[in-house]
Amino acid sequence: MHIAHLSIKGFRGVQSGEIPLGRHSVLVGPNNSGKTTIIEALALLFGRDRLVRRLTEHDFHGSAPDVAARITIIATVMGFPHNDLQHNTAWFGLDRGVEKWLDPNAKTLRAAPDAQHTELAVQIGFAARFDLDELEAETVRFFVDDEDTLGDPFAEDAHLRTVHTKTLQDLGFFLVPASRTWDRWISFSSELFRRVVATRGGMPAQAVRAERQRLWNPPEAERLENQPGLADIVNSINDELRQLLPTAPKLKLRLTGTDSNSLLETVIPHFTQGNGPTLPAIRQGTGLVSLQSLLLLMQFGKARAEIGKSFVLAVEEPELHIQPSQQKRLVNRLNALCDQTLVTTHSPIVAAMFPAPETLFIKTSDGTLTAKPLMDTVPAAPTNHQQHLLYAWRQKLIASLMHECVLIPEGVSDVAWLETLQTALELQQGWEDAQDARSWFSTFVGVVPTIDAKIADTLAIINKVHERPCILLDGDGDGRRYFEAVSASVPPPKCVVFWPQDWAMEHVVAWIAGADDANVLAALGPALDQNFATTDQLASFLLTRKSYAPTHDSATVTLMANSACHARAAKLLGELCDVLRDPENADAGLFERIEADSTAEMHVFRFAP
Amino acid sequence: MTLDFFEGAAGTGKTHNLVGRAGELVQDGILGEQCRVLALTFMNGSRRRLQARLGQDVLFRRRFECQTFDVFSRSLVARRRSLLSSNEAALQQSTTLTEFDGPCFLAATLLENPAVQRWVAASFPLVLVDEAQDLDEHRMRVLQGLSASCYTVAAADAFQCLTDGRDTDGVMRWLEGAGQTHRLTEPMRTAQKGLLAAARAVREQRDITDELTQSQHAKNPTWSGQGFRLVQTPAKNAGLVAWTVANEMSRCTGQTAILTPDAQNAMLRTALDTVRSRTWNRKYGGTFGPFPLEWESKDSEKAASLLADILLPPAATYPEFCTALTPIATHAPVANAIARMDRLRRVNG
Repeated sequence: MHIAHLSIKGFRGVQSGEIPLGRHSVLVGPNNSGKTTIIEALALLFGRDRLVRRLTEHDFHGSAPDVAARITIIATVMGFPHNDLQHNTAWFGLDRGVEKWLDPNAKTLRAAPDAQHTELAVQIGFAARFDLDELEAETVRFFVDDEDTLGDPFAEDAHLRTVHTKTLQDLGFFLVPASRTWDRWISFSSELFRRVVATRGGMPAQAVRAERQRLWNPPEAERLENQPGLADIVNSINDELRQLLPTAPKLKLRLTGTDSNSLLETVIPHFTQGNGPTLPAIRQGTGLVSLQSLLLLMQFGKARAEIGKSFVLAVEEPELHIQPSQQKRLVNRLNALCDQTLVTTHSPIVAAMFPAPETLFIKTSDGTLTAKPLMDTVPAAPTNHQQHLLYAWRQKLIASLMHECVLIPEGVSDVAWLETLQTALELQQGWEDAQDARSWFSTFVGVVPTIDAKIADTLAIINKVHERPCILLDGDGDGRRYFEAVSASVPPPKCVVFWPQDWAMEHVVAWIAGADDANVLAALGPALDQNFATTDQLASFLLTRKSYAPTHDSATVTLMANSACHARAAKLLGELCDVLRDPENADAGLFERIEADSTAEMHVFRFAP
Repeated sequence: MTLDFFEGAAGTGKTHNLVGRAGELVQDGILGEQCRVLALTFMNGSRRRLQARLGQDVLFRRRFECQTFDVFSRSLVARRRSLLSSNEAALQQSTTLTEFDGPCFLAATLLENPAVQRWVAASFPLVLVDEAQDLDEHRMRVLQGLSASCYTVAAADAFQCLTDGRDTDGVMRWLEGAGQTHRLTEPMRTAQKGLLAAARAVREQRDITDELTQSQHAKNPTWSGQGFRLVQTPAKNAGLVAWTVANEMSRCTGQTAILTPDAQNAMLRTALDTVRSRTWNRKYGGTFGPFPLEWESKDSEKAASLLADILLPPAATYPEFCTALTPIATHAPVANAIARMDRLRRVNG
């Protein structure tokens, strides 16, 4: 079984949101975009009661709930065994859920099955209201009969059927939050560990009973209260007690509580590496420690699979503390073991491991949360350009989409130059630099790798998931032609920037060198093994090395070591960043607006040094 | 699906057989792991009786749900309303019916859908219906829909229909034709032959006195049988009626119930007041009376007397409402009303 769709209303920063979910979905987006809200909404719906934190006013949208304020979360669950309600009477029936039929492609629901609506589904709801008299939230989990006419779940005539925790256990939802208490995962204080033991192994009852027996009556010589040093204190206390209390209780000291539960809770995981000492988990590196949770979850998933039960895993940031090679193995393993995995991540590596239709870009603006897949369906015969962008460069593509603005330059060398310039700039940045000498370019602008000048095709892909794509074009005839193509797309890019007439990125680099050409050209000679008399010569040379990374690297390092060039590059990237982020209000500096080409939706600029 | 129908007169053990048959089916494993028995009745009174009866049986503990047809129908319609949204004709027709019949009509319409039948049966594979003679057209259709996918056990006695003038032929004929009918003829509640003979005569609309022996010596015309006496007295003279009642009561031990078809009858009320207050002398010494009597009030009368104590303005704020009701909050219904208003205020403002 798995969750096909989630809708959220009035929860945290989300006034309303619709999230279609696939079998293995990754949620991508900047901080505060609503990823955690989605995961916690799932936890409220499907989590065990004790895992659900008590709701406060701040969990209601706007943080000041009035009498009518409600949190409503509705999930559509599908994938029932045999696709037949008679086999799933824990979920369906007059005092349980109403059957719905889902179209797995369009994700629409009907009350009765038809040619498209072939998948048996049920809708589960969670609702909360804040009681202003008792100052606490009242919550209810229920079967949703009809989402369209649901009304207020707390109304007298709501006719709700509550969902039992036992029923939800069929789904086997488990959440690994970003704030993991690492060292205690493989121990009996962990709910998950207990569940794994219960489903897989069975309690080590014999060992626990024997240990408990020993604790009740330790051998005389081993008793703590009889040890020299302690015995004196214990005896004095016993003397006092005898005088105060007629029953004359005797003090005993035990290593732990003597009930089986306390005993189990004292179990602490240790690890031994090679012939080294046995060290508690907390003394191990965080990598090993954080693997524990995922190893354990795999055991749990395996146990559930063995008894034919489903397992839905939500993991926040699986990449935490784990090296890239392991990230890949782990995520693949989890995807293979679970009926459904829902992962949030800030790592392009993790995100790129999920199929494009299930890579969801999450965004919340004005309270509306949207989840847009990178592609609706995987193209059966991808073009050369799609292959590059969606397969070979998916990590870079996703990384760029995690930014506020996405810049699509004309070609690969533009991407390389922008990246190396930015990196060299940051490496040379001192604490004493004034605020305006720093560039926020890499914070706010992601650069998409583009090949073969496929600007319009790239824009079409970006437009689906991101609302601030921008274009960077050369100042030649080709640039103009690309401009005609992208300005016709719907919607058009927010911002288009042209380099000056007949300029490409390499001329811009030469212009940066011009800030102190006497010194810089001399320094660049040995670095690039070529002598330059003018910046024009430099530009011509660079144009012959368009896709040669060492040239980009050496040139930028030399350039950024020069403070005048450094300042010029910072100014360029800083102003470019400003123009891309807020083209409506950009004030002319290095970039001047081309009024003739600009429209209300698309702002066109030319670099005018 | 299979239907078992128990038909028989009062005291022949209909409910006993109904519950017994259900017990057999439960023991045979008709209920899946998550399933329960659905017990439906027409009136709340019989719902409470059936609920108590089922609750005594360890077989059914926490495995049954007792509802009236009205409550069942309302919740079914509320939960599957999306299936009705396209059925304009049914929705239109339901608005011409009463607030109770409308939902039953719609529920019956829904239950014509095999998917809904299966859905109900997924939770409730076994349906019990007691006092089925009370079912009208709409509720009978509900039962017909249920019986298509649920194992059904019903009990009825056409003679005991509570609603005056209702034609029970339809439902009785359907029940007899829909499955296996078990006719119960052996009275289980009493072995008193005179009483049983009189009861039979009433059911068969014969003259009851034919079954009894007329006494020649009594002051009033009197017929007797084992466990049963019939005394005739003129209904015009309150004093004579009072004497007759008191005289009969003096011959009984234990508690006496007096039944009257018309509690408002002035002559009768005077007569009973007299029974309550007067002492009569016997001809040959000794006295009888007075006898303490108490009128048993109906729920509706209790409610009327309670309402008479409440002075509610046509509209009131929540504090005013509480002030008005708190003095009589010892009555459970009033306490419930206050709790309900409090809940409404908190949820809806």
